[in-house]
Amino acid sequence: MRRLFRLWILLPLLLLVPAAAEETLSLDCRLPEQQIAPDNAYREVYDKAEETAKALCGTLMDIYEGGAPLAGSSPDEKVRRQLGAFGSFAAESLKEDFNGSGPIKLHANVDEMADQLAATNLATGIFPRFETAPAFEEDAGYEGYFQSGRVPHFTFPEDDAACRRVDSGKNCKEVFEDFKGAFNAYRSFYDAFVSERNAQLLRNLNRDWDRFLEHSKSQTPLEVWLTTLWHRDHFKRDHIVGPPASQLIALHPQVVYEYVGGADEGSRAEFGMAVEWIGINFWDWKLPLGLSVASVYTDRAGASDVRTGVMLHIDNRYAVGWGKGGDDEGFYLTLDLLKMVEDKKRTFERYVD
Amino acid sequence: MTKQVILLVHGMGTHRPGEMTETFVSALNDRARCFGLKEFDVAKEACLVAEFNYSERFDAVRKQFADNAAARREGFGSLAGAGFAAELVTELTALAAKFGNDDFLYTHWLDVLLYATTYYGAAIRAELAETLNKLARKHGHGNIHVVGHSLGTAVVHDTLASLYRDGANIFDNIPDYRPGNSNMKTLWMFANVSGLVHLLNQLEDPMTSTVAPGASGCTDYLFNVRHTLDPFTWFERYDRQMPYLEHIENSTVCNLNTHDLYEYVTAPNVAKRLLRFIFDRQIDKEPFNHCSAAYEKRSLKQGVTELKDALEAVRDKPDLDTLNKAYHAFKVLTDTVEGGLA
Repeated sequence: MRRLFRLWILLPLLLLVPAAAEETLSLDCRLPEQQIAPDNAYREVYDKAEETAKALCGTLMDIYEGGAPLAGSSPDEKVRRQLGAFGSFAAESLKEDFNGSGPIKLHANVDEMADQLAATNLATGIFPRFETAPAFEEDAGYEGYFQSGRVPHFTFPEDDAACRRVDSGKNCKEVFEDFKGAFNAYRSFYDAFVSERNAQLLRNLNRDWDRFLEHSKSQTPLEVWLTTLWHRDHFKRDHIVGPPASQLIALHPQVVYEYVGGADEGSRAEFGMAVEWIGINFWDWKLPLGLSVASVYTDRAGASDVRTGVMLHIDNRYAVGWGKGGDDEGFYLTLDLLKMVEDKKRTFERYVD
Repeated sequence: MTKQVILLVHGMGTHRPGEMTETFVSALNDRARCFGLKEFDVAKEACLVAEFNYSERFDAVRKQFADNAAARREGFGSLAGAGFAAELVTELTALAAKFGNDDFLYTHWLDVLLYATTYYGAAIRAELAETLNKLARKHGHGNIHVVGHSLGTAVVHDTLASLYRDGANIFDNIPDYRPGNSNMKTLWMFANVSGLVHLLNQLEDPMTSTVAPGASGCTDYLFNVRHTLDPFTWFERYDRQMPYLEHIENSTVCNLNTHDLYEYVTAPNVAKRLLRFIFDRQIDKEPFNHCSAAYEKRSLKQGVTELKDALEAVRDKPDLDTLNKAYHAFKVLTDTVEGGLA
């Protein structure tokens, strides 16, 4: 008896729990061999970047997995010190090579980068990445910049004596490409972590959308619009969102098979049509359920033609209902006719990636 | 050169997979040849052209609505003595039954409504975000170039504005990037209607969103391209001013359909920027001027100024009188073109 009681307590909870799958993320904190060319002009910057990347990776996984922090007063502080040291080293390397006497003026850019790295934090902080591009202003050659920088990009010609001093066999474009490869290596695991985490979350969201489009109750254009309106706060969030938790039902026609006990013998069970006036369907519950106010029309002898009552939706697909008109009560069931004619999965899988 | 990735997002209407790629690639190849880059071929460059096609999804949705409406009518029609109820169903399904039509109204404007006012818009954004993320994981954010055209600019804008968020936290359960941390290389908005769509969906405002270049944005460079005679770009015009954001305007008419992507890409000042920022190809002054002269030569001249003035009058004062004048100016131009072709 007690077991039965517990079951009754648990049943509503089970119904409410949407299907969910947890995924974990793992990173291998080893950089691949030969990530930069052996003749990279900024080999020392790369070596420091590699150390920083590994420390960053370990800290990221420690925080993500909720395990013990690395040695130091806090994981954030330790890695911040390391990032700050790396930023200063990289900045000094460039400043030594391009001391401001030539056409390449990059001090403001590298100083800003070093400051940003020294002050960053793992969860929400800035992680500068170095890039090169053709100069935005025509005829200015190329430009270099740290993406998070707020100072204007610095420009450099395709070739210059200052670059040949860094590596006699390379022009400026090649020298700054070398710096890019060496410097950005410190972000390897950060990039892998963030993009892999985003990939998981987006995969889950799209899986939810696929389930919604495939399994939820079929909707008319009006219902689609009303459902969107009903959940407007959800859809106006400032990030990518999944499907709505429920679907509105409005003016939805159905074919039903209705039994009216008070009708004349021979016309008690008849096919008829029902129109759901308003209702709601929780498509993502463990056992999806919905409820609507509906009127049923059947043409039969000895009973009124129209009865109004409620319709209960089960599993996004089936419905049973009750209605009363005059002194007559009717019970009906329905297979969603729309479900029978559409094949959402086929339809949406036609979408080509 | 590291492999560059171009992700194309098409505009409203039905687009078969690969169609936008063909248009974009042929436009760029044609213009590169005009610039004297005889050997240039996008297919032979270190580049991957990917396409995000949401038109198939909208086509499927419209067809589904129409099929459902037809099924209801058929189902209810088979019931004997249905009377007023059958009429009610006919009324309820009348509009949806037309959604499968190939009319411009249903294949174009309905796409805008489906995207901006229903949950299908959110589904498309989730899908585009995943596509972008997959490409970025494989090729690196710094090698990604996104190209949106027409309604595609709104899809791209809304997706990026949701993906690049101020205060993004890498440990929370929201898929996002911090602006300035993982920016794409370039973003190209052709016939930008993101402001217009914003009026309908009230998502992030393009004038203040993170869809911008630099430390507070999602890209290193943003190019906004509009034809002054493209009516889709007249209202809620995107005119944000920022460093590394360039507005490129073209007013030469080579095709009466000023909204056409091929025409947008083949404008010399646009193609020059594309070749420079995606393929690192520098176009010298002489071949550029030579090609621009040839481009101008093939443009329509007679009647264009009159049409431009008439269209600008509609833009500034949209009433029956200005519309009527614009229609007549358009008619004169069409007759001129047809006369020339004959």
